[in-house]
This record gives sequence, structure tokens and C-alpha cells, in this order.
Amino acid sequence: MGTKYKNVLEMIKSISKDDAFKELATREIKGKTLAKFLFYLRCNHNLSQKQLAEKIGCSQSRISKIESALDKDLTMQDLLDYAKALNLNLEIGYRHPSVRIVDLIKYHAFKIKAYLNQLNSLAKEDDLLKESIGKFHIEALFNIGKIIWESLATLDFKLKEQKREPDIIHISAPLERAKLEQLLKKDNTELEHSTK
Amino acid sequence: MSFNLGGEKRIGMGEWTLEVTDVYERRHEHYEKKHPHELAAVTGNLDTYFKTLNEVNNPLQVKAGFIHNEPGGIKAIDQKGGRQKIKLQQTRLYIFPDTSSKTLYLLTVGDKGTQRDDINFCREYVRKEIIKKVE
Repeated sequence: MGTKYKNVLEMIKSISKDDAFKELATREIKGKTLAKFLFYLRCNHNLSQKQLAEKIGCSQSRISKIESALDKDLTMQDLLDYAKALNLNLEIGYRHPSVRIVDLIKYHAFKIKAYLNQLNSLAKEDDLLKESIGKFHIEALFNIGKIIWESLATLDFKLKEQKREPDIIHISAPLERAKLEQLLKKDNTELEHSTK
Repeated sequence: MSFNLGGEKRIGMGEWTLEVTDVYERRHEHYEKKHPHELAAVTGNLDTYFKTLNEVNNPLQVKAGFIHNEPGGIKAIDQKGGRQKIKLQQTRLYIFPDTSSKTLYLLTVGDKGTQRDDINFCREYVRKEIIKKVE
């Protein structure tokens, strides 16, 4: 059996001996970032090129051309057609190259805060809605905590050894209060043990 | 490039890895000297397939004109797609997505003339080296 690689570029860099080919292949891969993303979107919606063409109202060959086009050749209309056909909102953003991963994490944390405020403002004087939003806060707290815990455990040997793998809470189906309290209690007990 | 899925990616999904056979390595060396444009086009399509494989639940969801289903779960990726300045010869990269180990095997690469032998080699390789290893 051969060597394992994480991605195609890594494989090319490792096994290719010809520098001109390496450059050619790298250009081929890096020049089609958007087309690859559109390809992924279609596949993730379980659609063939023909089915998507029908939804957009164009020929299959146009879909084929879009999904193999260089980034510079794609049009805004192509992106809008995919968004509309797949029932998605199109969001376009720019990011300065100096932005670090930690900055992105902080950015998303602030976004979460802003969305939670937005959610809270929906409740107004509705007690039932307040209770549901409250449940959602607890679920989000648990799930985000779990994600961070798991990430930390990949770095810390002692945490990893404990094999702490509580179920994730499904936000789409809120759990009963008793179950939530039980999970949170379990979570706190394990945290206490780990810090001892 | 990394796909920004806006939080859609399932937690706990393992990443696929690529594994190349000795035969693939030898043929790759031949193709990068003799047919670099064909190999680059096939490699570009492979990259599209591989990146999407990492984001969907089932390899069967990945459908495109450049992917051909061969017997025994083997797939062939061809050079089609994109506006090429030169006419490319038909070239096929044979792969096998092993869902149990999340490994995408690059088996060999060939042209129309070697198609029959290539498919036979791939079937034999998958049967002897991959399925046996899983069992």
C-alpha cells in the first residue's frame, strides 16, 4: 500500500518530479475555487446537473461550463442562479489576509452575541416564547461548550484520556428540562473531576 | 481552499485521505512528462471530487459528467471540463472510494487504448488489496 495524503495538492507536491507540471496542476486547482464550491452545493442538495438546469431554466451544458469555469470567468448571474435554485441566500465577503484564525473565532463569538440579542428581543412579553428561547440558550451553551472541550481535548492528553463523550443536544428538537438539567449536572461533575 | 459551509458541516465527520498505488505513481511520472495538460486537467477534476467527498454524507451524491462508474465500485475521472486552449486526449484516472476507511485510492491512470487493461487491474487490486484488508 502507498503513502497517504491529506489533499490533492500535497500528493502532487510529493510525487511529481517535474516543476512545470506542479505549477500547471496547482494553477488548475487554485483557479477554480468558486466553481468547486458551486459543484459541492449542487451535490450536497443531491441534484444532478440536469436537475439543477431544470430548476434554473437553462441547459445542462451551462451547468457543466459553470462548474468547470475559472473563477475569473464566473458571473454574478451564475452565483445568483445557484442561490435561487437551491433556495439559499447569497452572501459575499472580503477578508484582509492578515486576519488570523483567532480573530475569526472572536468575530463569530460577537456574532453569536448579536444574534442572541436579536432572539431575545423577539420574546417581548410572551412567556412561552421566553421559555423556549431560554431552553435554546442552554442547548447552545452546552453544544458550544462541548465543541470547545473537544477541541481542547485534542491538545491535552489528560482530558483525552477521560473519554468524555456526552451526547450533543439537538437544537432543532429541544429537550425536556429534566433531561437538560441531568446533562448539565453530569457535565459539571465531570468538569470538577478533571480540574482536581 | 477550504469550503466555508457556514456551520453546516456535521460534527465528528472524519476527513478522507488519499492513497496512491505504486502503479499510479509510475503512470503519473509518465503522464507528467508526455501528457502534462491531460494529467493537470484530470488532477483538477480529482481535486473537485475529493473536496466534495469531504463535505457530503455519501460518495454517490457526487455526480458530474467527468465521473464514470465502472464495475466493482471503481470510478474513472476524465479530463473533461473547462475551456482548454489545446485539444486534450482522452485520459482516465481510476479511483476507488473506500467508505469504511474513508480512503480514496488512486489506482492508475490511462487512455482509451489501455482502458480494458486498466479496469481489469483496478478490479483485481480492489479485490486483493483493499477488500481483503477491510475483511
